[in-house]
Amino acid sequence: MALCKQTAHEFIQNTFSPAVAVLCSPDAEVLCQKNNLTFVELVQPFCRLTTEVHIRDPNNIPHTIKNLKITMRDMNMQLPQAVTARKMMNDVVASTQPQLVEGGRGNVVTFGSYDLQLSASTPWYEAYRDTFLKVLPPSDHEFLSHCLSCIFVVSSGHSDPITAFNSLSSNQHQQQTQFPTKMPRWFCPGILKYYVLLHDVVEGEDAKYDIAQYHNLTLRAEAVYQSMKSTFGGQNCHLLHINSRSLHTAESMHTDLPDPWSQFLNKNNSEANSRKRNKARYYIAWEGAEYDTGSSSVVDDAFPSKVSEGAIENSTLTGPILSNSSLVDMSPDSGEGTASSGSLASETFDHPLSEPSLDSMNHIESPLSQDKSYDPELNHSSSKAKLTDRRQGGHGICLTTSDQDRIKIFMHELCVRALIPWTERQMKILNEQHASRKGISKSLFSATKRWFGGNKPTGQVAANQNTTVVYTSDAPELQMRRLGDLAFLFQMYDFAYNTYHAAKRDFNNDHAWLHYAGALEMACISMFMSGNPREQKYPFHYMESAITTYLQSCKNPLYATRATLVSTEALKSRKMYNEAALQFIKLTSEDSDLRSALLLEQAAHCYINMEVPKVRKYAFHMILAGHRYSKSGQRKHALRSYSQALQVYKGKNWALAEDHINFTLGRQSLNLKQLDNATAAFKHLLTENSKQIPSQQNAFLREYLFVYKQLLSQEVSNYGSVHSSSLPELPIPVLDNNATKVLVGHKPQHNQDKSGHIGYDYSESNHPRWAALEEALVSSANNGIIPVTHRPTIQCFTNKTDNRFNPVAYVGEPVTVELFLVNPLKVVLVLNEVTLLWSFLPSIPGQEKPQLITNEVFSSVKNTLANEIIHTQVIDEIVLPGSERSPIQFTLTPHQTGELRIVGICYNLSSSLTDDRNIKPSPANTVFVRGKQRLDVQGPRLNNTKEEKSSKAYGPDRRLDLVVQPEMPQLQVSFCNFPKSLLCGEVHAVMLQFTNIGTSPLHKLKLATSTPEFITLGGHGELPKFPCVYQSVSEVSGEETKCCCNTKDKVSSVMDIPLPNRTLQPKNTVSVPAWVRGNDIGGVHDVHFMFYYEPVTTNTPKVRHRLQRHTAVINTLESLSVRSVARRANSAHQNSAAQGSCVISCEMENISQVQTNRAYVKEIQVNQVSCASDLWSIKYLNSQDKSDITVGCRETMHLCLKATKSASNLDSVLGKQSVIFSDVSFSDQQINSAMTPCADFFLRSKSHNNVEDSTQNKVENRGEKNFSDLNCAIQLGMTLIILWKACVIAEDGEVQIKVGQHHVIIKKIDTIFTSYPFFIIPTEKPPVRFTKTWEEQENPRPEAEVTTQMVDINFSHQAQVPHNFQNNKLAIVPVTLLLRNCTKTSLDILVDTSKSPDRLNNRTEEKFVNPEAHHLTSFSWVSQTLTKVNLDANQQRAVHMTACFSKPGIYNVNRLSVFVTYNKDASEMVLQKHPSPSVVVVEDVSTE
Amino acid sequence: MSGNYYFVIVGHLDNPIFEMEFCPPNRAAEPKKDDHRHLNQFVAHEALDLVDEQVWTTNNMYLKIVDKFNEWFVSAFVTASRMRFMMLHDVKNEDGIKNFFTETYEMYIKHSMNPFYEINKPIVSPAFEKKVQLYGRKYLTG
Repeated sequence: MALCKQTAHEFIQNTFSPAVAVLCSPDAEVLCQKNNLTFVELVQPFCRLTTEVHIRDPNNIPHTIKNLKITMRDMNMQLPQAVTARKMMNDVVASTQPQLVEGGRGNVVTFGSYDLQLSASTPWYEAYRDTFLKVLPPSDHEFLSHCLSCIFVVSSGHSDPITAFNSLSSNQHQQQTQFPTKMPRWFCPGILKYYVLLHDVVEGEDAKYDIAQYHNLTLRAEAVYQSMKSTFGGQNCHLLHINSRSLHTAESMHTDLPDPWSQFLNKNNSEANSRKRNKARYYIAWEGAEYDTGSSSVVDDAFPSKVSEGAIENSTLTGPILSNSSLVDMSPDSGEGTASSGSLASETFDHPLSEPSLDSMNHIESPLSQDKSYDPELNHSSSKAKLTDRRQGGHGICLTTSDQDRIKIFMHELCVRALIPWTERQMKILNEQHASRKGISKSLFSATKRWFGGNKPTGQVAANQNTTVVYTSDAPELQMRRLGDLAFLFQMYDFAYNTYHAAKRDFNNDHAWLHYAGALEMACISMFMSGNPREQKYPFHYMESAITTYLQSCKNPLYATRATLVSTEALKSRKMYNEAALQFIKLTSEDSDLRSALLLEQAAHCYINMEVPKVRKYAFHMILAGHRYSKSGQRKHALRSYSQALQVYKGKNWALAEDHINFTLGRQSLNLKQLDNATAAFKHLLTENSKQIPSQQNAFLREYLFVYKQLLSQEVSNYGSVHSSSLPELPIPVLDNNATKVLVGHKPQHNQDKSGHIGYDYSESNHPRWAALEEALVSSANNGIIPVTHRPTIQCFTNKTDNRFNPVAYVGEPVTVELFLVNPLKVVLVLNEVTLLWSFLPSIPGQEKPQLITNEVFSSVKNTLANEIIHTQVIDEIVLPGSERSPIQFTLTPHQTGELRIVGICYNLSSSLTDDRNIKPSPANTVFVRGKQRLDVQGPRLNNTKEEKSSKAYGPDRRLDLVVQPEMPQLQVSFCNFPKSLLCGEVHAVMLQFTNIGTSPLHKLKLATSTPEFITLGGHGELPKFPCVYQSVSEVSGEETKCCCNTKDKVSSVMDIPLPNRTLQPKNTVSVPAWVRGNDIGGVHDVHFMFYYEPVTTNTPKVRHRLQRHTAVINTLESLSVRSVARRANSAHQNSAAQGSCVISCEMENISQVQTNRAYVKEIQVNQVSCASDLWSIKYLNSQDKSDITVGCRETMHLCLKATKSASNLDSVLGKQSVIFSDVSFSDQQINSAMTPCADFFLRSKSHNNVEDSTQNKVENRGEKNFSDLNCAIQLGMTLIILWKACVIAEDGEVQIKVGQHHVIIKKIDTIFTSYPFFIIPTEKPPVRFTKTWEEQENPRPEAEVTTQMVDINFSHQAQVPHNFQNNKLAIVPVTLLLRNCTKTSLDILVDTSKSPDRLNNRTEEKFVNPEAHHLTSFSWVSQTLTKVNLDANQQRAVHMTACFSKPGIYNVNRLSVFVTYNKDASEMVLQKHPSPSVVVVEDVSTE
Repeated sequence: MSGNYYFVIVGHLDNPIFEMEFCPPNRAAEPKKDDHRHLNQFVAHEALDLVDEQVWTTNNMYLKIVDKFNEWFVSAFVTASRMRFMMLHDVKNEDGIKNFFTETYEMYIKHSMNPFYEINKPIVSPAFEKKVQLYGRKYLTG
């Protein structure tokens, strides 16, 4: 429970104070009117006695009464009707608001983990309580508010005061006897009558300045007083002098005397004034504006005739008063003020004091709106108040301090001399009655009760049967109650308690539940009032059962409420907050929302004030209270309650609860026209983790947009234009700031070229590759040196690129910004007219301070101006489906140099009315708000220094701060006839077209590619005309062509593109033919091209070159596969020319399969096989038949070729790099293999392979380096180029002829090489070891493969040896062993005929082939069995030997061992491999 | 015995970390009363005051019914780490709720042992959700 101004004791004393009625004669009233007061009001401030008085109870025990307060009541005043009373309570609550809206209100209190800003006091509750008690209709069951006495007031100026007194008295008597139910009620028949003669001191003085007259009047008053005393008794009369100051003097003087009346009278007025000062903003004029009607209609409403009906009625009611007043100072104390605001249109509609009461009436209690008339008394007083306002606003201006003292004395006299003695008497009488009755009732009455009703259940059980016990007004039970009430009123609480306690028992016995409840209630309160808090326990259960009885048995919620109001106060003072809260909650019911709301709020305050504060209960009850407030139309209180509760719920993830609160806050703020608050509240509803269903979200969104729109239009009307120059920031959709990409230069447009699949590449994933290409280009442009200042050009800035430097854009070239919009809601968002916001600082030479330009402006003129500087793309509409993240691209084209910063985006946010996507939202059927969102990118987290590691520091990110540079040449590359798919190895002619679309010339055009084997621009001899691929030689000749080409240069991936005059002028186009070749491996391949160029005139020192990237995606289809193996030819002749020749067998397979609906190669015709080598030339072994060689699907064909060393190639001897091309053609036309593109691709593929080899075999090569002399023994180093023509069946069945070439690089003998590269399976690495092990450093040795084939061994002998074995048992055959050193070092060779290879190494296969080994071994070498020769490099020697055969037969003479060493060490002799047999047939001719 | 249930685990900062509603299977098909869903949260939140009060009065983790608001009963269970399991129910089902709490507690312990789960953060594990759903069917609505 919140703090109150009064303590519980004070409150209870004030609530239950002796009531005295006042009946004034009209002339007396006139006297009082001089002070703008009625008599009741006049004495009001002095009703509390400041001194202690004494009273004796019936037992003659004196009691001290402190601070006795008398309640004065005008006898003519009537209690308001129930409806009016309710309205009064509504109004008083509505008009009592927290003192300050913002800032100083309340204080922050910490409860556990909650910091709450609380308002400690709830003045609206106290105001409500006071009003409630004031308008509570009196009941028969109690006499606390019944008047004990009646004061009759007559002025001394009356002609016959005594008669006047008598008539007043009889009036009173008549009222009491004839209308007992009429207000006011009287305590008992014999009430105290008190007679007051009012004497105006200055009346005479005023009139005549006649002292005599004055004295005369005084004397007359004195005389009347004397006669009064004699007539009515001395103690019951009083002569009161007032108005010692004349009106004239009062008006002339300006005293700052304290005004004791102000706190009792027109309270509303003063409060309203204070409100006016404090929070004019809080009250916005057109309270009545409905939510759905646009506020503008009300604003424009300048005519009273258009005001709503209720208001007109009101204005007619109060019209006279207002029209009288020349001042338009509003009467703020009642609803009429609002009404008048309707009639006095323009000045008043925004008057801050118009009351919300009218509003609440109109909307909530519609039946009330018709009945707005207050009771006459109230109206009267309010008109008085106006009168007062019109004068000086003071009361009692004619009363001097001595007058006030006189009134005080009057009150004291009244109490001490009349009221208290009367009370004492009355109590004595009542007590005696009670005592006499007690004698009977105790003995007899209760006994009868016991006899007859002894089995009657007592207590609460019978409570629900609502018996209607009616006591006569002087029934003994009621007399007892009267006694108790008197005692209570005069603060004899112990006595009262006993009396009530006794009465309670009686009422309970009689089942008079209302009386019973009343007695219980009072007994409880008496106990509380009398008791020392520490000694006595508060009989809390009395009150509980009293309230229950009131509510359930008596159905009297008003008295239950009063009991609660009083009891909770008592509980509060006893710190029994929990019980108080429960009592409050018990009283919340459906019948009165306002009461429920107030009580719930008090309950909430009880919870927060508990010893262990129950914050969460507080919050919940505040919510409940707020709910009830809003139901009862108390919007401000509802708003306040909800915002109080929000403090507890905020940020705790109670999503639904928070949404409910925010939604209510928004609605209430909207109703109160606090649009900014409403907007803020609705904004909170649009969060990412909302648990609302989509339709609800849609409703929220629409509400938000609607409110925002209203807010903006209100701002427009208030300030003339929308707030300064900035757009409002919208909460949705969310921008994924760091995913923002900035692309400098032309935006990639797919299908821009004729070949749709070659496009720009700007994906950041390939960035290292592009950087490598760029480096290659830059180094090639700068003669192989990369400048120190070089840093890779970034075209597309993302959060992964290095954004420390500002991106550079060029005048006239677009900048594309890709933003990621995230829709956190589940509903469709529609954005219209989306555009980027930027600010631009132009760099104009000579101007010191350039002006910042931004497009965040509203005037269209400025906007077009801004658009001229930076052309900004506007996207008409973006539809964002629920919970989606989609990238949106914007384009800016700067037209001036300077610094451009992209600030954010602005758009019209609207929601679609339905979830149906088909219905397009148009401005007509949707509400939209134009707003913006800022774009802030965060740099990478820094992690270099210790501080950066320990703190969270982020580097700069400048990707949105562009520098606009002057214009540059701009290259546009288009690829003509670019294939989408190729066969493996297919060669295709394309045309590159370069256009300078910029305005300045460019030069040094270069192309770099990551796959140099893919494209060639030519370079060997004449270029074929564009669509042709291969050039054919005119006559078919077997001649080998020699082509000197610097193979080393071609390894570089950079190609210069020839330009006429070395420059490309603006708007000029150059076409360059090029050839592409499909990759050897089937599949999809990415090919990256980077074009490099430089402006001829560099006007920006920073940027020297420009780049353009292209990526092509090529699908290659499998076509031909070639496997080749070369073997040493067995040359039996000692012809030097044929020395060291090889036989190459090629196996060609068409690996394409017949497929439906997919392209396949039907057949491949091998046109030509060429050999490119620095040493070798080839011949077709089957030279007779040169027919076409065609390979169908999945067919394999073998081809045998012979390679011979071409002696004519002197270049290789001279150490120059040159290649000999020798062709074997199978068709009529011989293709010039030494020309572009055949030779180009050969070289490119070779260099490509070399690169691969070198990377793969790096480790091995390290050891082998020393043995290159030896290795050349088995190395061949030739490339077969297979040129073919394929017949391709395309997907659509079309037959296409394609040409291409395959390369087989034959590196060494006896090994199979293929046209497609092998995939090397990575070898498993040994586990990582942390301890160092000493590895044996082995001596590098040449490989066994090399060392066993260092010498070429050939036998030369007679193939057939006829021999007459009868003549000679032994046939002697001379055999010449030709030994040729294949290496480039001198070798020592040992030929050992005694050691057969069979014996030396068990070659099982040989045994298997020759099962009759003994037969074969039956020949033997004779003569020298061991020969040692030395051979120099490439030297050939013959060793003559003799074989001896004993039988005829077929013998393999290859039965000797050749050991070779290359380093003179005989122990390292290596046996040579020479598996080819040399057969000799020994014939026996003896039989012939 | 099949009534409506609303289960919530409340973290140390009075923040819900896991919420679930259980409807009787025959009424599951009906559309939920969305306009009153927030009331569940309000009531559960409000009852925390009483849970914090009553937790000191007993040695048991299961506090039985701690609060009542209109037709809702609020049962509570406080874990050793002072996580509060709250259950709103409109029918009395003491044993069922106790079993449900115990089983869910087991699941919660397992879940909280995940080193990637930060205490007091919302539980988003679908496995956990599935288990709780299962226990709900087993002990509450089933």
